[in-house]
Amino acid sequence: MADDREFWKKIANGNANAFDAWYRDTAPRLQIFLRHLLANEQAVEDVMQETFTQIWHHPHRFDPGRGSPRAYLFGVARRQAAEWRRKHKTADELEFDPAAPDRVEFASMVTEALSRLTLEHQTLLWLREVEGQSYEELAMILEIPLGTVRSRLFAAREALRKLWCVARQHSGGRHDLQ
Amino acid sequence: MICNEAAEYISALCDGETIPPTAAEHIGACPDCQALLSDYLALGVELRRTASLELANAVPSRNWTKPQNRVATWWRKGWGPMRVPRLVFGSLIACVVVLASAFVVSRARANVTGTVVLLSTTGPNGGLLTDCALSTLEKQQFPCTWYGKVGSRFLAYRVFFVTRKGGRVRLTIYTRTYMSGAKPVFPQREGGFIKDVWFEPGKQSKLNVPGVGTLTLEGVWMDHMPILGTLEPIPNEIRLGRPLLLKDNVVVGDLSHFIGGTFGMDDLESAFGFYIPGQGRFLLSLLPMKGAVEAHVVQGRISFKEGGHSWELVSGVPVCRADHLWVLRQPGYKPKGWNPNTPSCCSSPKLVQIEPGVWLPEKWPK
Repeated sequence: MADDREFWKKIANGNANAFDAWYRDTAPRLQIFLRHLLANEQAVEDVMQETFTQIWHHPHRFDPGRGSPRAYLFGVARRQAAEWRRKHKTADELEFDPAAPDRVEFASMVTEALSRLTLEHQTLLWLREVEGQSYEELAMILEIPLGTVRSRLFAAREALRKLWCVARQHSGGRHDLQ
Repeated sequence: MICNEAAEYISALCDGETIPPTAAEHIGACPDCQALLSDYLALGVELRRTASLELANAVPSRNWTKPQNRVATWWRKGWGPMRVPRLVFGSLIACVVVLASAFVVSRARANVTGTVVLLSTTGPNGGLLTDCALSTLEKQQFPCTWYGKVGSRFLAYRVFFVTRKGGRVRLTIYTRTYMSGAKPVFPQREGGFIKDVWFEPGKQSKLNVPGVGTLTLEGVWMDHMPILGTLEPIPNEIRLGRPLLLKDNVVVGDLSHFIGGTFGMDDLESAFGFYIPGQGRFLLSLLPMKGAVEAHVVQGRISFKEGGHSWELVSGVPVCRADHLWVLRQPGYKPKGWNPNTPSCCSSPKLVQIEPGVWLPEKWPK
């Protein structure tokens, strides 16, 4: 944590090299996260650009006392993604359209099911399971009360499990998980 | 425990959380819960596996530059090739700044800052009658009110804020005089002497009141509602500020429209009375009254038990110097002469001693 803060001081002082190093370290994982939220390659590129540009231009908006720089990054990206979805979709869940241009191809039935969840459920599950964010960081990223994180994660897991079970049934016996 | 109750704990286990023993016991023994746990774990593993596959995708390189500071750029362009000696240029800038500041100061004096007028009213002999603050933002505020002796007569004086225009405020002033110390009926729209004035804080205004003489009004603008007077009660004083009455932790009375600032009485042999619709009249005294209950006082809070209920009178200022006083409640009290559905304050019935150490409002049956 102390290293993170020292590192962030350099970024806050406008050190482009430090920021670029941080970008190279975090952007690949952020890109995957956004691909699952947005399911649109162009949107992923746009939101990534907007997220890192915003942080580069306004590094002082990050409060080290509230969480890690990585958690802050995912929080900003989540808000940008939500804004993109608000502008481009009326429903909270993405409509399934295999012929849509730039549509992301998912590697498995599970991630396909993930793409059909609400934005909050997708964010909770991905950041918990893949990024290993703590309950406190999830509360900060999603701007929700800490006391509700556990129950919301349960709801997200159950929603994913049900979609996955339905997908398994429709796949005629094909199973991703052995 | 049943499976539905245990399901959320199963999810918590996947996050590395510990769970209650009853849930842990159930999950360990229940095949359906074990299957759910397996599913949740498998989903997490699959998400991480696919993420690992996708990590191979490269991200584009970017160039990080801060936005250009246009002012700095122009400054560098102008400062470099300057032909006028830089000392002369600097002096010219300084002169411009000084001259501009003078205009700003003049304008600042003419303009108004602040939203509260602190109004001071002095009597014909120069003695201060009252200081009070009027907010220009609050529509339903309590007016400035004062009652006392001026010369040979008693004056009831009330000032309402009407409107504001720039640095001036329009005030409606009601006055009524009495020959003796009779209970004042504060003048409203009928009776008494009514005058509308435009008043400018920072300048004196004179108000001639028939039978009393000339009052002088002065004021200043403030950016907040000030605390007037001292916070500490004087000896024998019972004082309330925007009080709320709570019964069993529920607010049952709000006297802030009556006592918008603070109001106090320091006559030991008079009780402080107020009326709350549905609850009755309450008399407060530093003297023990027959039939009263003893109340505990901590700064702005009076706590007592009466009629099987817990009561608290919460005041915005310290109530009295003592740590206790007496409260006499008349639950069936009906006010005479005004609407029984509105609260009222602040009567001051005289107390008489009916026996050593025991007091009672005069005219009450002993």
